[in-house]
Amino acid sequence: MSTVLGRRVAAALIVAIVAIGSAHAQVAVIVNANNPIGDVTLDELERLYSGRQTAFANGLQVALGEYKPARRLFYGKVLQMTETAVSRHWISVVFSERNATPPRGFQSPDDARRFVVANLGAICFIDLVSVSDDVKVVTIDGRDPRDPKYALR
Amino acid sequence: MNRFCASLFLLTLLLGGAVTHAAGQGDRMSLYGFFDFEVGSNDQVGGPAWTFDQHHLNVVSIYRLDDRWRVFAEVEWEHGPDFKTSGTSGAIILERAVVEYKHSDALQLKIGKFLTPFGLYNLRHDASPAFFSTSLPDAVYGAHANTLRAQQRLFAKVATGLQVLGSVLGRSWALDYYLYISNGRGSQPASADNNSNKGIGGRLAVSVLHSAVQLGASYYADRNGTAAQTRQQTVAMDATVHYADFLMEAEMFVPRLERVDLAGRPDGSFRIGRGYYVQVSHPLLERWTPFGRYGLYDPDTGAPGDAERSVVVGLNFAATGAVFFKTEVQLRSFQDPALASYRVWLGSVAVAF
Repeated sequence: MSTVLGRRVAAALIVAIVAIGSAHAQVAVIVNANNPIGDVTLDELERLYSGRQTAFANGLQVALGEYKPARRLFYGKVLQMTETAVSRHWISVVFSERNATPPRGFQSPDDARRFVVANLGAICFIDLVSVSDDVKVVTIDGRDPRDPKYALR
Repeated sequence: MNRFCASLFLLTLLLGGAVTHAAGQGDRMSLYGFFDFEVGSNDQVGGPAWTFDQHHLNVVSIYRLDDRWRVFAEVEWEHGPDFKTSGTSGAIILERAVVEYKHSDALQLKIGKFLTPFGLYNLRHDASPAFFSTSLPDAVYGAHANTLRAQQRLFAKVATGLQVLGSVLGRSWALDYYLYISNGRGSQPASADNNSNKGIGGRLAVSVLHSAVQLGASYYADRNGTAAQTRQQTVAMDATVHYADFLMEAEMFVPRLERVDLAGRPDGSFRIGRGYYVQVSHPLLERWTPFGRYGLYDPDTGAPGDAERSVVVGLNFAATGAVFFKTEVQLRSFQDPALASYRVWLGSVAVAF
Protein backbone atom coordinates (compact mmCIF):
# COMPACT_ATOMS: atom_id res chain seq x y z
CA MET A 1 0.00 0.00 0.00
CA SER A 2 2.73 2.38 1.01
CA THR A 3 4.64 1.46 -2.17
CA VAL A 4 1.63 2.33 -4.36
CA LEU A 5 1.15 5.60 -2.49
CA GLY A 6 4.81 6.36 -2.83
CA ARG A 7 4.69 5.80 -6.60
CA ARG A 8 1.66 8.07 -6.92
CA VAL A 9 3.35 10.79 -4.90
CA ALA A 10 6.47 10.44 -7.03
CA ALA A 11 4.40 10.58 -10.23
CA ALA A 12 2.54 13.65 -8.99
CA LEU A 13 5.84 15.33 -8.14
CA ILE A 14 7.24 14.59 -11.59
CA VAL A 15 4.10 16.00 -13.24
CA ALA A 16 4.30 19.10 -11.04
CA ILE A 17 8.00 19.61 -11.82
CA VAL A 18 7.39 19.19 -15.54
CA ALA A 19 4.43 21.58 -15.35
CA ILE A 20 6.47 24.18 -13.49
CA GLY A 21 9.34 23.71 -15.90
CA SER A 22 7.15 24.12 -18.95
CA ALA A 23 5.40 27.13 -17.41
CA HIS A 24 8.77 28.82 -16.90
CA ALA A 25 9.69 27.91 -20.43
CA GLN A 26 6.82 29.94 -21.87
CA VAL A 27 7.04 33.67 -21.71
CA ALA A 28 4.39 36.27 -22.48
CA VAL A 29 5.04 39.86 -23.47
CA ILE A 30 2.66 42.23 -21.71
CA VAL A 31 1.79 45.91 -22.10
CA ASN A 32 -0.52 48.31 -20.33
CA ALA A 33 -4.19 47.44 -20.90
CA ASN A 34 -4.78 50.94 -22.34
CA ASN A 35 -1.94 50.70 -24.86
CA PRO A 36 -3.53 50.26 -28.31
CA ILE A 37 -0.62 48.04 -29.39
CA GLY A 38 -1.80 44.46 -29.80
CA ASP A 39 1.07 42.90 -31.73
CA VAL A 40 4.82 43.37 -31.97
CA THR A 41 7.27 41.79 -34.34
CA LEU A 42 10.30 39.88 -33.14
CA ASP A 43 12.45 42.47 -34.91
CA GLU A 44 10.69 45.23 -32.98
CA LEU A 45 11.28 43.39 -29.68
CA GLU A 46 14.95 43.13 -30.59
CA ARG A 47 15.17 46.84 -31.32
CA LEU A 48 13.30 47.76 -28.12
CA TYR A 49 15.28 45.51 -25.79
CA SER A 50 18.60 46.49 -27.35
CA GLY A 51 17.80 50.18 -26.76
CA ARG A 52 17.88 51.03 -30.42
CA GLN A 53 14.17 51.87 -30.60
CA THR A 54 12.66 53.85 -27.72
CA ALA A 55 9.07 54.30 -28.83
CA PHE A 56 6.27 52.04 -30.03
CA ALA A 57 5.14 52.28 -33.62
CA ASN A 58 2.28 54.52 -32.39
CA GLY A 59 4.80 57.01 -30.94
CA LEU A 60 4.30 56.11 -27.29
CA GLN A 61 7.61 56.22 -25.37
CA VAL A 62 8.63 52.80 -24.12
CA ALA A 63 9.47 51.85 -20.53
CA LEU A 64 11.18 48.46 -20.54
CA GLY A 65 10.68 45.86 -17.84
CA GLU A 66 12.06 42.38 -17.36
CA TYR A 67 11.06 39.49 -15.13
CA LYS A 68 14.48 38.26 -14.06
CA PRO A 69 13.75 34.51 -13.91
CA ALA A 70 12.73 34.66 -17.58
CA ARG A 71 15.76 36.64 -18.79
CA ARG A 72 17.70 33.67 -20.11
CA LEU A 73 14.91 32.40 -22.34
CA PHE A 74 13.74 35.84 -23.50
CA TYR A 75 17.14 37.28 -24.35
CA GLY A 76 18.31 34.03 -25.89
CA LYS A 77 15.34 34.12 -28.28
CA VAL A 78 15.05 37.85 -28.90
CA LEU A 79 18.63 39.16 -28.82
CA GLN A 80 20.49 35.86 -29.23
CA MET A 81 22.54 36.90 -26.22
CA THR A 82 23.41 35.41 -22.86
CA GLU A 83 22.34 37.25 -19.72
CA THR A 84 25.91 38.42 -19.13
CA ALA A 85 26.17 39.74 -22.68
CA VAL A 86 22.89 41.62 -22.25
CA SER A 87 24.15 43.23 -19.03
CA ARG A 88 27.35 44.26 -20.77
CA HIS A 89 25.39 45.58 -23.73
CA TRP A 90 23.28 47.86 -21.52
CA ILE A 91 26.38 49.14 -19.74
CA SER A 92 27.58 50.15 -23.22
CA VAL A 93 24.26 51.74 -24.10
CA VAL A 94 24.16 53.88 -20.96
CA PHE A 95 27.76 55.06 -21.16
CA SER A 96 27.53 55.66 -24.92
CA GLU A 97 24.97 58.41 -24.23
CA ARG A 98 22.37 56.48 -26.20
CA ASN A 99 19.05 57.99 -25.19
CA ALA A 100 17.51 54.75 -23.93
CA THR A 101 16.76 53.56 -20.41
CA PRO A 102 17.75 50.03 -19.36
CA PRO A 103 14.98 47.59 -18.43
CA ARG A 104 13.78 47.67 -14.84
CA GLY A 105 14.29 44.22 -13.38
CA PHE A 106 11.70 42.46 -11.24
CA GLN A 107 12.16 39.32 -9.23
CA SER A 108 8.44 38.82 -8.71
CA PRO A 109 5.78 38.64 -11.46
CA ASP A 110 3.44 40.71 -9.27
CA ASP A 111 5.95 43.59 -9.26
CA ALA A 112 6.42 43.25 -13.02
CA ARG A 113 2.66 43.45 -13.59
CA ARG A 114 2.32 46.43 -11.25
CA PHE A 115 5.03 48.21 -13.28
CA VAL A 116 3.07 47.62 -16.48
CA VAL A 117 -0.25 48.64 -14.93
CA ALA A 118 1.28 51.90 -13.66
CA ASN A 119 2.99 52.92 -16.96
CA LEU A 120 1.08 53.47 -20.19
CA GLY A 121 4.24 52.89 -22.25
CA ALA A 122 5.49 49.88 -20.30
CA ILE A 123 6.36 46.57 -21.88
CA CYS A 124 7.58 43.56 -19.93
CA PHE A 125 8.00 39.83 -20.25
CA ILE A 126 6.79 37.41 -17.59
CA ASP A 127 5.81 33.76 -17.26
CA LEU A 128 2.63 33.03 -19.13
CA VAL A 129 1.09 31.51 -15.98
CA SER A 130 1.57 34.83 -14.16
CA VAL A 131 -0.49 36.88 -16.61
CA SER A 132 -3.64 38.47 -15.17
CA ASP A 133 -6.53 40.49 -16.58
CA ASP A 134 -5.14 43.89 -15.61
CA VAL A 135 -2.48 43.73 -18.38
CA LYS A 136 -2.63 42.97 -22.09
CA VAL A 137 -0.71 40.11 -23.68
CA VAL A 138 0.59 41.12 -27.10
CA THR A 139 1.05 38.66 -29.92
CA ILE A 140 4.45 38.32 -31.56
CA ASP A 141 4.38 38.33 -35.35
CA GLY A 142 0.66 37.64 -35.05
CA ARG A 143 1.09 34.55 -32.88
CA ASP A 144 -0.50 34.01 -29.49
CA PRO A 145 1.63 32.46 -26.69
CA ARG A 146 -0.42 29.27 -27.00
CA ASP A 147 0.45 28.96 -30.68
CA PRO A 148 2.98 26.14 -31.21
CA LYS A 149 5.01 28.48 -33.42
CA TYR A 150 5.08 31.31 -30.87
CA ALA A 151 8.56 32.85 -30.87
CA LEU A 152 9.19 32.69 -27.11
CA ARG A 153 8.66 28.98 -26.55
CA MET B 1 41.71 71.36 -2.55
CA ASN B 2 41.04 67.77 -1.59
CA ARG B 3 38.16 68.98 0.57
CA PHE B 4 36.74 70.60 -2.52
CA CYS B 5 37.06 67.34 -4.44
CA ALA B 6 35.48 65.29 -1.70
CA SER B 7 32.71 67.84 -1.32
CA LEU B 8 32.04 67.81 -5.05
CA PHE B 9 31.81 64.03 -5.04
CA LEU B 10 29.49 63.94 -2.03
CA LEU B 11 27.41 66.77 -3.44
CA THR B 12 26.94 64.87 -6.68
CA LEU B 13 25.84 61.73 -4.90
CA LEU B 14 23.67 63.51 -2.36
CA LEU B 15 22.09 65.78 -4.92
CA GLY B 16 21.42 62.82 -7.15
CA GLY B 17 19.97 60.86 -4.26
CA ALA B 18 17.89 63.77 -3.09
CA VAL B 19 16.48 64.37 -6.53
CA THR B 20 15.95 60.67 -7.09
CA HIS B 21 13.91 60.42 -3.95
CA ALA B 22 12.04 63.65 -4.38
CA ALA B 23 8.33 63.08 -4.61
CA GLY B 24 7.22 62.17 -8.11
CA GLN B 25 10.70 62.41 -9.60
CA GLY B 26 11.97 58.91 -8.96
CA ASP B 27 11.80 57.96 -12.63
CA ARG B 28 13.30 61.20 -13.90
CA MET B 29 16.71 61.03 -12.28
CA SER B 30 19.03 58.11 -12.87
CA LEU B 31 22.51 57.62 -11.50
CA TYR B 32 25.02 55.25 -13.05
CA GLY B 33 28.73 54.88 -12.75
CA PHE B 34 31.75 52.69 -12.94
CA PHE B 35 34.88 52.01 -10.97
CA ASP B 36 38.03 50.28 -12.02
CA PHE B 37 41.28 49.34 -10.39
CA GLU B 38 44.31 48.09 -12.25
CA VAL B 39 47.55 46.36 -11.51
CA GLY B 40 50.31 46.07 -14.04
CA SER B 41 53.94 45.50 -14.73
CA ASN B 42 56.22 45.47 -17.73
CA ASP B 43 59.71 44.32 -18.53
CA GLN B 44 60.69 47.48 -20.39
CA VAL B 45 64.02 48.85 -19.21
CA GLY B 46 63.25 51.54 -16.65
CA GLY B 47 59.57 50.67 -16.67
CA PRO B 48 57.54 50.54 -13.48
CA ALA B 49 57.36 47.29 -11.57
CA TRP B 50 54.06 46.20 -10.06
CA THR B 51 52.02 49.34 -10.22
CA PHE B 52 48.56 49.74 -8.73
CA ASP B 53 46.25 52.28 -10.30
CA GLN B 54 42.88 53.37 -9.01
CA HIS B 55 42.08 54.41 -12.53
CA HIS B 56 38.46 55.53 -12.75
CA LEU B 57 35.59 56.45 -10.52
CA ASN B 58 32.99 57.94 -12.84
CA VAL B 59 29.47 58.99 -11.92
CA VAL B 60 26.88 59.58 -14.62
CA SER B 61 23.68 61.44 -13.80
CA ILE B 62 20.80 61.59 -16.23
CA TYR B 63 17.86 63.85 -15.59
CA ARG B 64 14.83 63.44 -17.84
CA LEU B 65 12.78 66.59 -18.00
CA ASP B 66 10.19 64.79 -20.13
CA ASP B 67 10.09 62.33 -23.02
CA ARG B 68 12.04 64.69 -25.26
CA TRP B 69 14.57 66.53 -23.08
CA ARG B 70 17.27 65.16 -20.83
CA VAL B 71 20.52 66.33 -19.25
CA PHE B 72 23.43 63.90 -19.26
CA ALA B 73 26.51 64.60 -17.16
CA GLU B 74 29.56 62.54 -16.22
CA VAL B 75 32.16 63.45 -13.62
CA GLU B 76 35.39 61.49 -13.55
CA TRP B 77 37.83 61.05 -10.69
CA GLU B 78 40.88 59.58 -12.39
CA HIS B 79 43.99 58.08 -10.79
CA GLY B 80 42.86 58.75 -7.22
CA PRO B 81 43.05 62.54 -7.37
CA ASP B 82 44.87 64.20 -4.51
CA PHE B 83 45.62 67.89 -4.74
CA LYS B 84 46.59 68.37 -1.13
CA THR B 85 50.07 66.90 -1.23
CA SER B 86 52.95 68.74 -2.84
CA GLY B 87 52.50 68.67 -6.56
CA THR B 88 49.37 67.10 -7.93
CA SER B 89 48.22 63.67 -8.90
CA GLY B 90 45.18 62.38 -10.66
CA ALA B 91 42.48 64.45 -12.26
CA ILE B 92 38.88 65.47 -11.78
CA ILE B 93 37.21 65.96 -15.11
CA LEU B 94 33.79 66.99 -16.24
CA GLU B 95 33.95 64.33 -18.90
CA ARG B 96 30.59 65.08 -20.46
CA ALA B 97 27.73 67.51 -19.91
CA VAL B 98 25.04 67.80 -22.55
CA VAL B 99 21.45 68.77 -22.99
CA GLU B 100 19.70 66.45 -25.39
CA TYR B 101 16.54 66.95 -27.37
CA LYS B 102 14.94 63.88 -28.93
CA HIS B 103 12.46 64.63 -31.67
CA SER B 104 12.42 60.92 -32.47
CA ASP B 105 14.86 58.01 -32.59
CA ALA B 106 15.78 59.26 -36.07
CA LEU B 107 16.48 62.87 -35.08
CA GLN B 108 18.16 64.05 -31.90
CA LEU B 109 20.23 67.06 -30.94
CA LYS B 110 22.97 67.42 -28.35
CA ILE B 111 24.47 70.64 -27.06
CA GLY B 112 27.44 70.72 -24.72
CA LYS B 113 30.58 68.71 -24.09
CA PHE B 114 30.43 65.17 -25.42
CA LEU B 115 32.63 62.23 -26.29
CA THR B 116 33.18 62.29 -30.02
CA PRO B 117 31.41 59.46 -31.83
CA PHE B 118 34.57 58.03 -33.37
CA GLY B 119 35.10 54.35 -34.07
CA LEU B 120 33.75 51.48 -32.05
CA TYR B 121 35.02 52.56 -28.65
CA ASN B 122 35.28 56.30 -28.17
CA LEU B 123 31.68 56.78 -27.04
CA ARG B 124 32.35 54.40 -24.14
CA HIS B 125 36.00 55.34 -23.94
CA ASP B 126 36.63 55.01 -20.22
CA ALA B 127 33.73 52.71 -19.33
CA SER B 128 35.89 49.65 -18.81
CA PRO B 129 33.05 47.34 -17.67
CA ALA B 130 31.75 47.64 -21.24
CA PHE B 131 34.75 46.03 -22.92
CA PHE B 132 36.76 42.86 -22.51
CA SER B 133 40.28 44.18 -22.21
CA THR B 134 41.81 46.46 -19.59
CA SER B 135 43.28 48.75 -22.21
CA LEU B 136 41.62 49.93 -25.40
CA PRO B 137 43.22 49.03 -28.74
CA ASP B 138 45.97 51.62 -28.67
CA ALA B 139 46.73 51.45 -32.40
CA VAL B 140 43.58 53.54 -32.84
CA TYR B 141 42.78 54.91 -29.38
CA GLY B 142 46.23 55.44 -27.92
CA ALA B 143 48.41 58.53 -27.97
CA HIS B 144 50.97 58.71 -30.77
CA ALA B 145 53.65 61.21 -31.76
CA ASN B 146 52.43 64.05 -33.94
CA THR B 147 54.60 66.01 -36.37
CA LEU B 148 55.96 68.04 -33.46
CA ARG B 149 56.94 64.76 -31.75
CA ALA B 150 54.44 65.36 -28.98
CA GLN B 151 52.08 62.58 -27.92
CA GLN B 152 48.41 63.04 -28.76
CA ARG B 153 45.35 61.06 -29.81
CA LEU B 154 44.75 61.23 -33.54
CA PHE B 155 41.22 62.54 -33.09
CA ALA B 156 39.60 64.56 -30.32
CA LYS B 157 38.38 62.34 -27.49
CA VAL B 158 35.90 65.00 -26.38
CA ALA B 159 34.35 67.96 -28.16
CA THR B 160 32.30 70.94 -27.13
CA GLY B 161 29.66 72.07 -29.57
CA LEU B 162 26.57 70.80 -31.33
CA GLN B 163 25.74 67.32 -32.48
CA VAL B 164 22.91 65.94 -34.60
CA LEU B 165 22.38 62.22 -34.42
CA GLY B 166 19.83 59.50 -34.82
CA SER B 167 18.96 55.95 -35.75
CA VAL B 168 17.02 55.32 -38.91
CA LEU B 169 15.35 51.95 -38.52
CA GLY B 170 14.40 49.65 -41.35
CA ARG B 171 12.60 46.36 -40.95
CA SER B 172 15.79 44.39 -40.48
CA TRP B 173 18.52 47.01 -40.54
CA ALA B 174 19.47 50.23 -38.79
CA LEU B 175 21.53 53.24 -39.79
CA ASP B 176 23.11 55.26 -36.98
CA TYR B 177 24.46 58.67 -37.87
CA TYR B 178 26.28 61.39 -35.95
CA LEU B 179 27.36 64.81 -37.20
CA TYR B 180 28.97 67.45 -35.04
CA ILE B 181 30.76 70.76 -34.98
CA SER B 182 32.95 71.83 -32.08
CA ASN B 183 35.68 74.18 -30.93
CA GLY B 184 38.20 71.52 -31.83
CA ARG B 185 41.33 70.98 -29.79
CA GLY B 186 43.05 73.89 -28.10
CA SER B 187 44.05 75.36 -24.80
CA GLN B 188 40.45 75.86 -23.65
CA PRO B 189 38.47 73.50 -25.85
CA ALA B 190 35.36 73.55 -23.67
CA SER B 191 35.04 77.32 -23.47
CA ALA B 192 36.81 79.03 -26.36
CA ASP B 193 38.05 78.33 -29.86
CA ASN B 194 41.56 79.65 -30.40
CA ASN B 195 41.53 79.52 -34.18
CA SER B 196 39.14 80.13 -37.03
CA ASN B 197 38.71 76.46 -37.87
CA LYS B 198 36.03 74.41 -36.22
CA GLY B 199 36.44 70.78 -35.28
CA ILE B 200 34.04 68.78 -37.41
CA GLY B 201 33.29 65.11 -37.56
CA GLY B 202 30.78 62.41 -38.05
CA ARG B 203 30.07 58.75 -37.99
CA LEU B 204 27.84 56.40 -39.97
CA ALA B 205 27.16 52.82 -38.95
CA VAL B 206 24.91 50.31 -40.64
CA SER B 207 23.73 47.25 -38.71
CA VAL B 208 21.86 44.22 -39.89
CA LEU B 209 19.57 42.75 -37.25
CA HIS B 210 19.91 39.05 -36.30
CA SER B 211 23.10 38.59 -38.28
CA ALA B 212 24.68 41.23 -35.97
CA VAL B 213 26.96 42.60 -38.63
CA GLN B 214 27.84 46.26 -38.35
CA LEU B 215 29.91 48.39 -40.66
CA GLY B 216 30.93 51.91 -39.73
CA ALA B 217 32.95 54.88 -40.85
CA SER B 218 34.16 57.86 -38.81
CA TYR B 219 35.80 61.17 -39.62
CA TYR B 220 37.37 63.91 -37.54
CA ALA B 221 39.13 67.09 -38.64
CA ASP B 222 40.35 70.25 -36.96
CA ARG B 223 43.24 72.66 -36.75
CA ASN B 224 44.84 71.38 -33.57
CA GLY B 225 45.43 74.25 -31.17
CA THR B 226 47.60 72.03 -29.00
CA ALA B 227 49.89 71.17 -31.92
CA ALA B 228 50.93 74.53 -33.40
CA GLN B 229 47.60 74.91 -35.22
CA THR B 230 48.44 72.09 -37.60
CA ARG B 231 45.62 70.72 -39.70
CA GLN B 232 44.73 67.15 -38.75
CA GLN B 233 42.23 64.78 -40.33
CA THR B 234 41.53 61.16 -39.48
CA VAL B 235 39.32 58.69 -41.32
CA ALA B 236 38.41 55.33 -39.80
CA MET B 237 36.49 52.28 -40.94
CA ASP B 238 35.21 49.57 -38.62
CA ALA B 239 33.47 46.22 -38.80
CA THR B 240 31.81 44.11 -36.15
CA VAL B 241 30.63 40.56 -36.64
CA HIS B 242 28.73 38.84 -33.86
CA TYR B 243 27.86 35.27 -34.77
CA ALA B 244 26.84 32.53 -32.33
CA ASP B 245 28.67 34.21 -29.41
CA PHE B 246 31.77 34.72 -31.55
CA LEU B 247 32.66 38.40 -31.73
CA MET B 248 35.11 39.99 -34.12
CA GLU B 249 35.88 43.68 -34.10
CA ALA B 250 38.22 45.35 -36.55
CA GLU B 251 39.11 48.97 -37.18
CA MET B 252 41.42 50.67 -39.59
CA PHE B 253 42.28 54.35 -39.56
CA VAL B 254 44.29 56.80 -41.60
CA PRO B 255 45.52 59.96 -39.85
CA ARG B 256 46.70 62.86 -41.97
CA LEU B 257 48.78 65.32 -39.97
CA GLU B 258 50.23 68.58 -41.24
CA ARG B 259 53.97 68.92 -40.88
CA VAL B 260 55.75 71.96 -39.44
CA ASP B 261 58.73 73.90 -40.75
CA LEU B 262 61.94 74.57 -38.84
CA ALA B 263 60.26 77.47 -37.08
CA GLY B 264 57.52 75.15 -35.88
CA ARG B 265 54.85 76.63 -38.17
CA PRO B 266 52.48 74.50 -40.31
CA ASP B 267 54.14 74.05 -43.70
CA GLY B 268 51.21 72.78 -45.80
CA SER B 269 52.59 69.27 -46.35
CA PHE B 270 51.08 66.23 -44.67
CA ARG B 271 52.30 63.05 -43.04
CA ILE B 272 49.95 60.14 -43.66
CA GLY B 273 49.88 57.22 -41.26
CA ARG B 274 47.78 54.12 -40.83
CA GLY B 275 46.73 51.89 -38.02
CA TYR B 276 44.48 48.91 -37.53
CA TYR B 277 43.58 46.16 -35.15
CA VAL B 278 41.56 42.97 -35.19
CA GLN B 279 40.13 41.53 -32.00
CA VAL B 280 38.33 38.22 -31.59
CA SER B 281 36.58 36.77 -28.55
CA HIS B 282 34.31 33.90 -27.66
CA PRO B 283 32.76 33.23 -24.25
CA LEU B 284 33.30 29.92 -22.51
CA LEU B 285 30.67 28.78 -20.00
CA GLU B 286 29.00 32.20 -20.44
CA ARG B 287 31.09 34.12 -17.90
CA TRP B 288 34.64 33.48 -19.13
CA THR B 289 35.65 35.28 -22.28
CA PRO B 290 39.14 34.81 -23.71
CA PHE B 291 40.14 37.36 -26.30
CA GLY B 292 43.03 38.10 -28.61
CA ARG B 293 44.03 41.21 -30.50
CA TYR B 294 46.60 42.13 -33.09
CA GLY B 295 47.27 45.78 -33.81
CA LEU B 296 49.67 47.84 -35.88
CA TYR B 297 50.39 51.54 -36.08
CA ASP B 298 52.57 53.09 -38.76
CA PRO B 299 53.01 56.83 -38.16
CA ASP B 300 54.29 57.59 -41.65
CA THR B 301 53.52 55.36 -44.59
CA GLY B 302 56.16 57.23 -46.59
CA ALA B 303 58.95 56.27 -44.19
CA PRO B 304 59.92 52.60 -43.88
CA GLY B 305 60.71 50.82 -40.66
CA ASP B 306 58.83 52.95 -38.15
CA ALA B 307 55.76 50.82 -37.40
CA GLU B 308 54.93 49.35 -34.01
CA ARG B 309 52.94 46.21 -33.35
CA SER B 310 51.07 44.83 -30.40
CA VAL B 311 49.69 41.39 -29.70
CA VAL B 312 47.31 41.08 -26.76
CA VAL B 313 45.97 37.89 -25.24
CA GLY B 314 43.62 38.08 -22.31
CA LEU B 315 40.73 36.74 -20.31
CA ASN B 316 37.62 38.48 -19.00
CA PHE B 317 35.55 36.94 -16.19
CA ALA B 318 32.07 38.27 -15.43
CA ALA B 319 31.59 37.59 -11.72
CA THR B 320 28.13 39.13 -12.12
CA GLY B 321 26.48 41.21 -14.80
CA ALA B 322 28.23 44.24 -13.30
CA VAL B 323 31.55 43.03 -11.88
CA PHE B 324 34.31 42.02 -14.28
CA PHE B 325 37.81 40.70 -13.63
CA LYS B 326 40.33 40.99 -16.44
CA THR B 327 43.86 39.94 -17.17
CA GLU B 328 45.96 40.33 -20.30
CA VAL B 329 49.49 40.06 -21.63
CA GLN B 330 50.66 42.50 -24.29
CA LEU B 331 53.64 41.88 -26.50
CA ARG B 332 54.92 45.10 -28.03
CA SER B 333 57.49 45.22 -30.81
CA PHE B 334 58.95 47.73 -33.25
CA GLN B 335 60.22 47.64 -36.79
CA ASP B 336 63.07 49.90 -35.75
CA PRO B 337 65.82 47.53 -34.54
CA ALA B 338 67.06 50.21 -32.16
CA LEU B 339 63.89 49.86 -30.12
CA ALA B 340 63.60 46.79 -27.92
CA SER B 341 60.35 44.87 -27.73
CA TYR B 342 58.80 44.41 -24.32
CA ARG B 343 55.90 42.77 -22.53
CA VAL B 344 53.19 44.28 -20.39
CA TRP B 345 50.94 42.44 -17.97
CA LEU B 346 47.70 44.05 -16.82
CA GLY B 347 45.01 42.91 -14.45
CA SER B 348 41.95 44.84 -13.37
CA VAL B 349 38.55 44.77 -11.79
CA ALA B 350 35.81 46.89 -13.37
CA VAL B 351 32.49 47.48 -11.69
CA ALA B 352 29.41 49.13 -13.18
CA PHE B 353 26.77 50.56 -10.88
